Amino acid sequence: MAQKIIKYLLVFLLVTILQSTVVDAFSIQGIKPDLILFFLFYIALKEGPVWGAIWGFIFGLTIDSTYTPLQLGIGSFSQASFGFLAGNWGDKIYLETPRSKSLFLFSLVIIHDILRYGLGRIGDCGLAFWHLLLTKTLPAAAYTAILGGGIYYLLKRQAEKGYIIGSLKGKEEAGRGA
Amino acid sequence: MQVPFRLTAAHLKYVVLIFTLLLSLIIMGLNQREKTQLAKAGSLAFIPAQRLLFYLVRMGNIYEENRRLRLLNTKLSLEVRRMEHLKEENDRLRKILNFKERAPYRLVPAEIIGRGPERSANSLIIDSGEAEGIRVNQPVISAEGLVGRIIEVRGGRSTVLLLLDPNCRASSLVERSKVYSLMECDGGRCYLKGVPLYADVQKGDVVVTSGWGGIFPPNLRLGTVRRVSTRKSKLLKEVEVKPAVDFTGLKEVFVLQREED
Repeated sequence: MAQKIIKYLLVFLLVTILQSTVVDAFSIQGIKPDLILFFLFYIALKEGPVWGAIWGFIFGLTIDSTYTPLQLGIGSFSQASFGFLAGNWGDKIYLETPRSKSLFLFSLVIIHDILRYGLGRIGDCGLAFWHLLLTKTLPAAAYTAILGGGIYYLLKRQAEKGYIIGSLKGKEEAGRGA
Repeated sequence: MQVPFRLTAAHLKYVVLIFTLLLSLIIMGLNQREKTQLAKAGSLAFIPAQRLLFYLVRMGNIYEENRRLRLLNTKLSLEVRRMEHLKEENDRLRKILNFKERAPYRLVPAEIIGRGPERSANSLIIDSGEAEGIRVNQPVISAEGLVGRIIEVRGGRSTVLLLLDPNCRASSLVERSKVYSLMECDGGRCYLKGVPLYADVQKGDVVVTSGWGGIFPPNLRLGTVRRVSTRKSKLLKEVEVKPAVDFTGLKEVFVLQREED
């Protein structure tokens, strides 16, 4: 367990650094994918809603602490909700294909942003709020979902070829056994 | 005795969710000073690692950037000579008109070593801090215009709240018609607030800081008017401003310090 926690923390550190450096190079008209949410989505699907909520809380709090201390608490709230919903609904929805995972991720990013921007302005859901959702959230959610779907597709391909003998293959075999 | 309620795995997830959300709400309710103290502890591990990677990424572009900066340096030298001449002339005219000299400012250069990873993040981390005399609320500018203000100083680095953030309003002035207002950005769009219907504001007008707020000095470029709309049912004009600064391409900024600071 301790090993896993350290592993997730290190990957989170790396993903956050990538998000604020390298990902800028891939932005289209200022729209960029959200690697941190994708990583949280991955953890939540793998570990379930409890760990999804806990890791979401930790990620959100750390990012707010570092970059937006005035908004402390908003990130932890929205990301804990995101992690919980991903883990909770992930168990109930059929998510076998990368496309279904991608669509699921797309909807969750939108929910996350509604919570984040909504809490940021405490109920003031004026024109700017909807503008933000339409011009930033929707394209970014689509970008994140496409990227996430692509990564899952690659992982699936690798697993089918037998290059990855870890969790993916293990899960499939467990499913067949059941 | 029968246990009235047993915590099962199904309940545990909701308990964890409620706990994390409640904790987040409590943190949201803290005052600014408490939030800053908590944030200091939370960010300890991140900044050194991010700083290192930022430098590594930038190393790749250093040759091209050097060439571009040399060219810019030559152009700016010419410009400085011209400005010096204008300043001399200005000083002379001020003396004649017996103007009180405005408080002079010192420019402290700073490199951007981090950006908020959130997609809507409106903050930057710069590599100047207490040692350079950086203090909270000092204005931050680039060659194009006003970038934002310092909201936090931690050792050798500081956090800049960008003009794009709704918490970073600037008292503004339309240069051509001398219309005073307040510029506020929200959701990536910037507006002049409180512009009366009769005010003379047109598309393309240059907007600068008025110096009224006490934080930003006057005449820093904020942007140009992108759109003006007037609705009969409203008492105020809706004036949208295109910011002068391209916030996505920023690499270096300058912190403005009063000489007495």
